[in-house]
Amino acid sequence: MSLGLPIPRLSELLRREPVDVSRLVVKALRERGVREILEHVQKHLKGLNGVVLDVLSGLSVGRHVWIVGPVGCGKTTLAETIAEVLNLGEPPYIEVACHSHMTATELTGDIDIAVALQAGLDHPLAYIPGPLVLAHGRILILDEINRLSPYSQAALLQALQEHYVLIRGLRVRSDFLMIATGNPAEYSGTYDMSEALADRMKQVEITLPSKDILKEILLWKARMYTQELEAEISEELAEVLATMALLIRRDKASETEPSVRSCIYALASTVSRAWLQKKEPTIEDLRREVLQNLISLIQGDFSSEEEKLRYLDKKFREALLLVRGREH
Amino acid sequence: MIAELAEIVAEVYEYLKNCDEVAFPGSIRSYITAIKDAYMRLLLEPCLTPEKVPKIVSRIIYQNISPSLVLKKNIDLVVEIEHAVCRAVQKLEQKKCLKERTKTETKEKSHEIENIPWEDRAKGLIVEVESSLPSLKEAPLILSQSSLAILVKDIDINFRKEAKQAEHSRDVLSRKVFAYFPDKSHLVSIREYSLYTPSMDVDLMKTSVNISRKKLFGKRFSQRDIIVREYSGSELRNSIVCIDVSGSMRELEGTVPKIELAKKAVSKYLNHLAHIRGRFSLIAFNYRAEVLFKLEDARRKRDKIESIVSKLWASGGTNLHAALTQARNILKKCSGKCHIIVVSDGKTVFKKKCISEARILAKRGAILSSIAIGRSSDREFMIKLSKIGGGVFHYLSSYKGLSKALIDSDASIRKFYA
Repeated sequence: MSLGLPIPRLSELLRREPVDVSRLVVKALRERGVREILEHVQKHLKGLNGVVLDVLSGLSVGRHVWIVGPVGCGKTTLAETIAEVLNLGEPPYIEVACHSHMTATELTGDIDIAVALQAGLDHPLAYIPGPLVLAHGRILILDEINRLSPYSQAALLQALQEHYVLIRGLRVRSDFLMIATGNPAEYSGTYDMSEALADRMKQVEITLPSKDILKEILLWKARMYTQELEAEISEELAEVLATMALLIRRDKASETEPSVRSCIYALASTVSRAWLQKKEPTIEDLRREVLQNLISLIQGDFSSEEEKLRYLDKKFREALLLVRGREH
Repeated sequence: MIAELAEIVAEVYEYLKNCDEVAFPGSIRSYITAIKDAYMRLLLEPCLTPEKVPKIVSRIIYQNISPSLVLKKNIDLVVEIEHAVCRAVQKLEQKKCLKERTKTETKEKSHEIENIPWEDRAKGLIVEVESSLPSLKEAPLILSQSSLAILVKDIDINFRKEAKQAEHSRDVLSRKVFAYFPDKSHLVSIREYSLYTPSMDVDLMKTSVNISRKKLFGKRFSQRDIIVREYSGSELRNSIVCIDVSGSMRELEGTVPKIELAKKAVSKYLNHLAHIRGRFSLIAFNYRAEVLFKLEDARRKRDKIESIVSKLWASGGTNLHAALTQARNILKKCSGKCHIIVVSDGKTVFKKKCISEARILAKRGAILSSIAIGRSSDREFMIKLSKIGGGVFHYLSSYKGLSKALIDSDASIRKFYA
């Protein structure tokens, strides 16, 4: 939560005027232009233009959006970038990282009895506001929304559709548009989204990028992270990594796919490690980093960690053979 | 353009409604927003060509309606919607041609009788549905806090009596207004007040004593003086584990048979239950089900239970229905809520009977969770069981995470019903 927000008094909250947030979004779109917004997003994420437009069109008609995709494909970054570029208020968005032990009152905020009794309900500290109330007139980002328990999900229903929040009987107006992110339901540790909540949102899916785009992203991001080192990254490394990601994605032995994030860091840390040793990054360096970065991500029918390592090693060698074979 | 989009969406609705594989075509709200959304999306598209339109529209419709849509079978929804959109576009074009023809034929006829657009009809429907629902009235103002405030205001020697009265009136009010029935049978903790504590849990008696003492000495009071007593709302301490001991459990996982891993997991779970003073019952099933022991105190009878668990062995087919029936028999004799956890790969005979048995269990107040193990397991069936039973579903690719899954599902259920 940002510190830039003044703590609101309860009486001010109760007198709040409704705000048409979707109109604000359309205004922002008019002022900045779609092309400029897309360019801004491309500074952070590549190959997601269609998804960005899908999200924006939903927001501009007042529909809440739920971005679904596998781990590490850029859901949260996308949500943050869109909220930033729309810039509906100061700060432009409120972000909440959801977890299964989050209660409904944590989302709405609560009245502190001890303060309220002595200093009155209108004391600035009598009511500690929650993100649902603070997000008035802005965008609310709920990260990993499907980790919320069904009880906390129910607290969202009222705020999303009726645009008000009940705090111990007091009705506070709160208009906001929500961008939620979440993993598909089959990932462990997630709850089933209730039908009523799912119905209030539009579901936009992000899929993992194709091999060429993945290679491009890898090179671009790894160069960005290792900018200070002034090291060169050869295209072959990225090509091998991208091919390997594709091979694992197609293979049925592994249930999960290597995420874009882990691949980027595997490549970047290869370069930084080579820089530490004052040499050029080699395939062998990359192999070691891949094993370290991807091992925890791979899940499937493996009896031990060593088997996983062997599996990754095998896939890496296959990718290397494929890339080298193509070159010759 | 909106009217045309509305027609396309209406066509998709009709198509999905008549489709055999679709159980529920999605909510009206999602269709209405799909119209607006598709319109906006087409406006936003940088270089729009006629070929792109059906694709974009069908994708937007899919994104909007997919959360509320229920399928009977697994079909490729994107393709189906695209198909329906294409058909709608063709129809629209035909209509346009017809209209132009009739326009040229009868130019005098300036006023055309137009049908009411689908969007307006749908809006009317929404208003009707919303008006039929009971409106959410504002709940009465902070009940217990106001009663506390009265207490603090005029303190005299009789505050104990007043506190008692206030507590009584709070209970009566909470029952009448919030339909909230505090079950004060099992005290979980006594602690000081912190934010997000339900005000119903404040112990008015002790709090008033504390506050009046502070007031006598002219001091300010803080959160520490407000005492909270937490009760476990319902006594969910009984858990029944139905474990699969069919022949497939003899297979090796790594170097250890699956049944050995399962035994270890059960004994770990037993430790957890002993820690929270739960009661435990175990049903092992293959083609028939056997209750190894009825609900026993996990702490007192731990040794006995562990010795029984260690003697489990695997053989035979799988009949989950028998296990659920046995669980029902145990339920008959136990008091309080019961959490049943089914551990299996879901490949059982009499699946329909299992479902109806789960419905009966849910009616009797039991909570049914399921843990599907193995990649070849029938996950859909197990998810269905846990949905009917109101419990949680876990999927594991191997038996290694079983103890964690058992404890996890138990803890999350306990949290809900506490």
